[in-house]
Amino acid sequence: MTTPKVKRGFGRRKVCRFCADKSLVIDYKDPKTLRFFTTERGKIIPRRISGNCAKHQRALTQAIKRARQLALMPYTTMVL
Amino acid sequence: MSGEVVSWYKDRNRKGSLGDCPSLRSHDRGLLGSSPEEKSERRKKLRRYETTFVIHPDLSEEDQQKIVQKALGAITQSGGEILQLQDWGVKKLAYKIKKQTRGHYIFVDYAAKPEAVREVERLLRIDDNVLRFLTVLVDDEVDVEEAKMQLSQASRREVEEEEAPALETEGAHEVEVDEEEGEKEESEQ
Repeated sequence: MTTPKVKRGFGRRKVCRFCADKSLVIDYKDPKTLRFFTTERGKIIPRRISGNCAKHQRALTQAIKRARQLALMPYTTMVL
Repeated sequence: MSGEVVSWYKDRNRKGSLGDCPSLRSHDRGLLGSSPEEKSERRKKLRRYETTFVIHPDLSEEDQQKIVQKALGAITQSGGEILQLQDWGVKKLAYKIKKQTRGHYIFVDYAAKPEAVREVERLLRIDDNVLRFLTVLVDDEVDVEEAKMQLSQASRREVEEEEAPALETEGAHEVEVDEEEGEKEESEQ
């Protein structure tokens, strides 16, 4: 629980968004939702940051990669 | 070994394949390649796929229709069934494809055999006006009638929600609150 370097408020445990909200579905056709889980550059945010559970993170990366193929999401974007 | 298996083994010189052995689980049967009847049955079964493709944004209505119809034709000709056809319209692409910044998205949800998918993808690949396509296997098996039912129900619900909600939710909410308050008061007394 205690991390020596980083100060962290107590009880800020991250919860998987998809487990908490069952109505939220992972779909490659819905880039609006998927965008929450990518950085501004379009990289997929790792699980340790976003707090997703393994199962949903797997589904999410799959969906993001599909969306990228269809040019619904970027592979990468230059940030000015 | 159970008795059943032993008798099967004793009779091992008879015709038939290893797939008939009663001790094999269904999983093992799949690995064996199964009997020809089973294979043909599996080939008959339809699977549910979704294909999304992006066509050139500057095409005339006619040319667009031609591409769509070609794809749909390939599905229906091989005994497949179209469940849903959506036109997402012209959208901005996240990156350039063939020097285009926009693309016209078409989405098809259908039940078909694997061979049909191969044919559809072949046709889309040949066409220079198709910028991108992606097929996703949604379900290994589909009950076409049931899927259609579900889709029609879902669309009906959407229509209802669009028409009704604004008025109903406001009114209903107020009534609910009033009732709750009334109950509380009663219990307090």
